[in-house]
Amino acid sequence: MSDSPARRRITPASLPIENLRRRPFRTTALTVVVTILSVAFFGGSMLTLNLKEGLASMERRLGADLMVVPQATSSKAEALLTNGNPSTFYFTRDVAGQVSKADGIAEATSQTYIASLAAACCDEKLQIIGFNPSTDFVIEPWVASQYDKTLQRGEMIVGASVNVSVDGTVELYGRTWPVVAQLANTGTSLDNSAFISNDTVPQMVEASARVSHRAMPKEYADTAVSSVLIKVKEGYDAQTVAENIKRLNPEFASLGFVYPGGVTASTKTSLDTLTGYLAVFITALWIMGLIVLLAVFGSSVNERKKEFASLRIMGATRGMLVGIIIRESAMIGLFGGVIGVLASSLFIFPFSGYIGNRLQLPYLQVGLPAILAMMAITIVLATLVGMAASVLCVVRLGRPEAYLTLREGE
Amino acid sequence: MKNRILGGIVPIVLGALIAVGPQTFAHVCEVHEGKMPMACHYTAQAALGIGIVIAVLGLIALFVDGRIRAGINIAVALLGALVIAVPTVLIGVCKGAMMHCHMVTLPTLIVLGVLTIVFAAIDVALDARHAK
Amino acid sequence: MLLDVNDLTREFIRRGKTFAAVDHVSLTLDSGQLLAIVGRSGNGKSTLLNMICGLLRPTSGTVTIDGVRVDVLNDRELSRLRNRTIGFVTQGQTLLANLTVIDNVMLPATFFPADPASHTILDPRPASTSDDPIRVRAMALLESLGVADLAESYPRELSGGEMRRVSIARALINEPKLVIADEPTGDLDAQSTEIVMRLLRRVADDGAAVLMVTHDADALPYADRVYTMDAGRLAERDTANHGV
Repeated sequence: MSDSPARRRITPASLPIENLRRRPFRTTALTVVVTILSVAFFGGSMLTLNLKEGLASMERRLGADLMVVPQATSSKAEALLTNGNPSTFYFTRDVAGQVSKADGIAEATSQTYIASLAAACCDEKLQIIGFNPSTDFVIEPWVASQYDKTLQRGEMIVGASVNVSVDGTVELYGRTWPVVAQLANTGTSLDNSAFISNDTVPQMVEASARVSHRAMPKEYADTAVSSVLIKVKEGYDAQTVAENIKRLNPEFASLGFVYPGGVTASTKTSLDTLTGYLAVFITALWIMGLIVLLAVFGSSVNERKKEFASLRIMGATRGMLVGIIIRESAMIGLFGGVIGVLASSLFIFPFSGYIGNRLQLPYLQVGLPAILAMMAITIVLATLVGMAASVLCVVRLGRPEAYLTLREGE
Repeated sequence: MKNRILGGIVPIVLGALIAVGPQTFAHVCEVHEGKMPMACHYTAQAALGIGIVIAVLGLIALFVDGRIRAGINIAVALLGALVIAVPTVLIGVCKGAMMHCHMVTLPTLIVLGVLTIVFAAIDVALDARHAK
Repeated sequence: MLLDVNDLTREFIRRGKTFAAVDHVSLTLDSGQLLAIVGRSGNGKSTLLNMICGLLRPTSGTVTIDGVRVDVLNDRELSRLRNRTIGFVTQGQTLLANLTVIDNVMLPATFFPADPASHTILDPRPASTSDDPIRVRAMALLESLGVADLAESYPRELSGGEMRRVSIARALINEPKLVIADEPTGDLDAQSTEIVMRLLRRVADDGAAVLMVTHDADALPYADRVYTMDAGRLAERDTANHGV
């Protein structure tokens, strides 16, 4: 039992450590309670922050007020905007041309979407987005920050998650494509996309045909367009413009209309619901945790009355007693907070990609300063909750003549 | 008794998870017929071997005294570092961020490796103190 | 005169009626003297001791220790007085269970490290921990009480008599001028009682004032004076006939 005799003096300052060390079961149990609280708080906060960051990034990337897509493909198109799986859908260019003549349109540009197969052995499915560099107003603005030249035939700009080999190419449909730029992380499915100019689309379709699966029928390759992205004129709203488009041709009534603003809004709603539940859950957990801690520390006052009385009789001031109790509980809070932050970091950060994938919501890891700030806040809160737990004890000890003699304690 | 759990049972469990994980719940990308297996395939093979060694060391640690157990756990901690090194620097996984092995196997092995190191280090600290 | 208790009264209210637990008690005690107070439990002895060391405020009357009026001190001054001037030997198990014997004995010496009244031999900040003067003194005290070999044990490994001796060592660590002993021989066997009482006698002979509360007849022969306490009132008893 008498392992490594303590050579240092025990003082009122180091007494709390000794009290915790000599009661490992109680210390562990209380630390576990605080650890659970801080895991919930830190994990929940990081999740919320990352989702908010993802949403903000998605909002920045959506430059269009209205997307016109083929019949029954609206949900696929929405998934492209948030964090869904790659898909292929299209109508023909002449439809796109007619659509863009409707009243109330300031700018219109078309895009073509192709979902690639997992081509090379180490590649996943890519979303290929063909856009028209001459009319584009959606992709260029944010691509421009990293690539200011015009995209040439056969060239590619890829999202952050795309696997680019060291020689600056991507292998797709059995051939290599030069990559001229790789974009920053957005937390949406755009990270898993390759951007090519419209002229490259037929080339891509041909390449796909050679590797067994043809991405779209040959006759469409030159004319296929998946969506028309529209920026409305000042004074028009997206719904009115959609109505104008439907009036152009009775067949257009069956087209899909996607309102990226609405997609953002509905994503925001489901995100708010999620974070709302999370907040309620965490609050409830913290209240329960605080009650447990209050009960344990509160009952220990009676149990430890003799100990405090004997400290008092040795000449400990009221302040020293309060200090010993506060430090003891603050230390438990601190340990629990640090362990909680470390434990949840161990899961949140390595599994960041997996979490985003499972949530199917824009999920973007916030920057290091925000992470460090959140860690500090969690540890401070855990320490405070530890200290709050001993408040009852302190109040009781603070009363003059609160406890009297050693004999009364018996 | 407590140290026996920490120094023996814990490495057995973690070693088993490291060995089995990449083959099952945190599986790597499949090897397609006639194609070259990818990096993650070899990572899974390496993890299988290292995991078994860790588990066997844990098994041995159940039947020895504190000093030897401390020594075994030093080895377990180093193997834990190897578990992290294999998918990150030594062999690696598929580069694509959305690939299953990148998204699940890699973090799983990192987490298991860190846990192995942490628990082995705690055991070494405890066993070394009591063995004095 | 080291201790002067003058007309001390403490009243409590029990079931709506006021009663005096300590009723107009006066006593004086000089250095080098051992004074014993006997009486059945519930007769106000503990209340008296608590007022003397300032844990309980008197209803009326005064306590003066070493020329200082106890009832006018604030909490910090009182604590310092308890720590530096008074040594309290408690009855029962009051050692801190989480500290070893040696740490228990050393603890009171660390309460006021910056205190200029600290004893010269107890340099509050030793250069090296191996010859910490507080540790040296604590070991010397344990040695003189015959329990040095228990220094690294924890209180729950000790017998009642051993605990009492450790508790005396703790009371003496700051070289108190006034030693108060509350039932120092309670629940001890005859042999332990003798060891403890010889010790207290020696403390008095070395120049401290010792005030002891007891109901153990075997302890009385060591006292210079014996008082009885009955229903809160104190009366001197003829030292020639002790026998309860």
